[in-house]
Amino acid sequence: MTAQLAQLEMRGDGPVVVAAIAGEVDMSNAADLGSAAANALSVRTTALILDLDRVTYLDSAAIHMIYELRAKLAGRGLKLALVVPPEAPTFTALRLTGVPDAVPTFRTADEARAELGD
Amino acid sequence: MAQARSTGAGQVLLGAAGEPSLTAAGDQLLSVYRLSDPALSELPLQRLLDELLDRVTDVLGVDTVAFLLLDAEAGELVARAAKGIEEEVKQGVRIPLGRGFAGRIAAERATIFIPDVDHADVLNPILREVGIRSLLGTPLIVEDQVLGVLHVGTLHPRDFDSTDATLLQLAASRAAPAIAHAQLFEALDREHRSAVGLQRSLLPDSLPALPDADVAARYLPARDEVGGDWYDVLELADGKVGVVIGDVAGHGVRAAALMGQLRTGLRAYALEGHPPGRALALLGTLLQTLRGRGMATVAYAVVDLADGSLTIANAGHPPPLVVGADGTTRMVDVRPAPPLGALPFAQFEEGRDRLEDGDTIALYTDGLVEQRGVPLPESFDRLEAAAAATRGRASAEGLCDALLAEMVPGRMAEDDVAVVALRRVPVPQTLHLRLAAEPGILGGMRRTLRRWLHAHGATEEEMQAITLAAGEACANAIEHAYPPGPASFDMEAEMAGGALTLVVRDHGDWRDPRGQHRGRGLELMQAVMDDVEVRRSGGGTEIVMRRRVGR
Repeated sequence: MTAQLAQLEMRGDGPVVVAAIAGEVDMSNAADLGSAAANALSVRTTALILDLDRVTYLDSAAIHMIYELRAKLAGRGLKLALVVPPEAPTFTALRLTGVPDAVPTFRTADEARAELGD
Repeated sequence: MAQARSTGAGQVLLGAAGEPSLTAAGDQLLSVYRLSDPALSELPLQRLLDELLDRVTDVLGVDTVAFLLLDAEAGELVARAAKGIEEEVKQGVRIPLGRGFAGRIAAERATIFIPDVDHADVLNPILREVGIRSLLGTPLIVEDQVLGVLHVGTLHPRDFDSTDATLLQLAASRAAPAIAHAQLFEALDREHRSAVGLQRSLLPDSLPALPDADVAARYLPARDEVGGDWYDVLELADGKVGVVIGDVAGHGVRAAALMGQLRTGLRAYALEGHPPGRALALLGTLLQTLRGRGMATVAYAVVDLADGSLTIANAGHPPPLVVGADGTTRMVDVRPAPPLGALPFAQFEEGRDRLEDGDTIALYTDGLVEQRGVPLPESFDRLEAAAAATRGRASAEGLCDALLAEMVPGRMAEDDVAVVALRRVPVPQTLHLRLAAEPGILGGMRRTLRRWLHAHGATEEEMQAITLAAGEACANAIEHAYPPGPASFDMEAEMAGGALTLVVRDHGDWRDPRGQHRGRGLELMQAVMDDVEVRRSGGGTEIVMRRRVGR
């Protein structure tokens, strides 16, 4: 048995959906978390907010998943936003790989919602 | 001579009470002895039947002998053993009760003689094909229950007399209880084997591989019966590990099946993150809803591998044992609550303890300490003495073996026994991990590295950076260095003069960063460490990283 390193919780049934991840994201679970978030979207969804506020560890596997998710959503005409405060321990890896420049990144889910017009 | 009366259709019913005329007393006695030999009842069913086939053939001088046993559910007789008409068994001939020669013998509980098969109601075509002319058959009866039919036949017309009938009845009366015994034994053996199989399939086939904890477990089935003992080790979130021991009251398939339900139930509550007391309360509620219910004792401990803190709840189990790295022993102080299923709405107090580096906790079922004729306090003393004798140096495996060797000599247990042990691996001066090349190992690797870094004075920020770099290097070893299949790689960490050296070494072929994904990994390692060096050779790849640590 392998430990369940992370949990995924999908919130919202309007046009903007929040996928909140808690725990650690690495090569053991990143791809599955990305697919699960994408598969939970409905035809009414216009944007996905990936809330990483409660993620305690992420590495290049998670960053790869974020870029993949962005490409997948763009193909369906959907927007992607991230939630991660700059002082979070995970922010360093995101910053070093250019994620905040490529994907709109917000301090809280509410700020992201406001920006995406929900 | 034969007390026979005609029943029409060329059949004759022979009186069961017919006295054999002892013309040659010696031969008869020998015949009687050969058919009623008490040693026969010790044989397993198939050998018993084979032996009786031979003896009946000899004693009665017949050409064919057959045993048909009753399949009560189908209401049919099934050919089970035969001589001279072996086809009957091969084809699995079935005769409905009440019909034909054998069917009537069983239904009427009468010995039947057919002088001439050609003119009689014989269902089984094989009897005709073989060319049998005369038949004599008698029911196999035990405690008023018909078990089947024994019949003999000859290829020439023969007038079976009452002596023949009596000898055949004697053989039947000897065979019947032995058959009943053997059938019961076979059924029990089948149940025992399926219970053993079920029990085995319900226990974990492997325990989690944890770099910072050494875990082991043992299960010994009882000598005669399968019990409901179980153990489990669960990797929980946040670097915690759950250790479970349980014992369902009762034996056999039912106990094993209930054990499987409870083990799964507790896993579900544990993975949901419920602390031990709450998890046991929920499991108690689950038990109330299960068909047949039953009772079970369970102890559930959660160990935080980062600081060794331990929380435990105990529903009726003997107290867990802790063996210190210094060789001291103690029982974990947790008030035992009643077993699950004893009281509805039971609450479970939690006890707390701490495993220091190198300490081992062992949970066990009562089979380990409950021995006939030995007072319980004496057993506990022996258990602690056996644990103390390891002087705190035994691995989890070693401790399990030491406890079993002392408490269950010869491993022949009266009751089944389960033991599970977890040792908190001490923080070494130099960290050396051999890791399975699979993604699932990464969480445990980071936890172990953090604990080691913390012990060596690294700050939170440094721990974040170094675990990230280590994670990338290990992911690289897992993802690129191996063909499919089991493999391992090594990680070493050493602190000298305020500088960390971290080495990840695999034994495969290095591939240049493929696409942006792996390129990002290398980029991250270089960004958070002072220095990253990739050394490639035919034997594998070594990533050597350095970073100053602490102020």
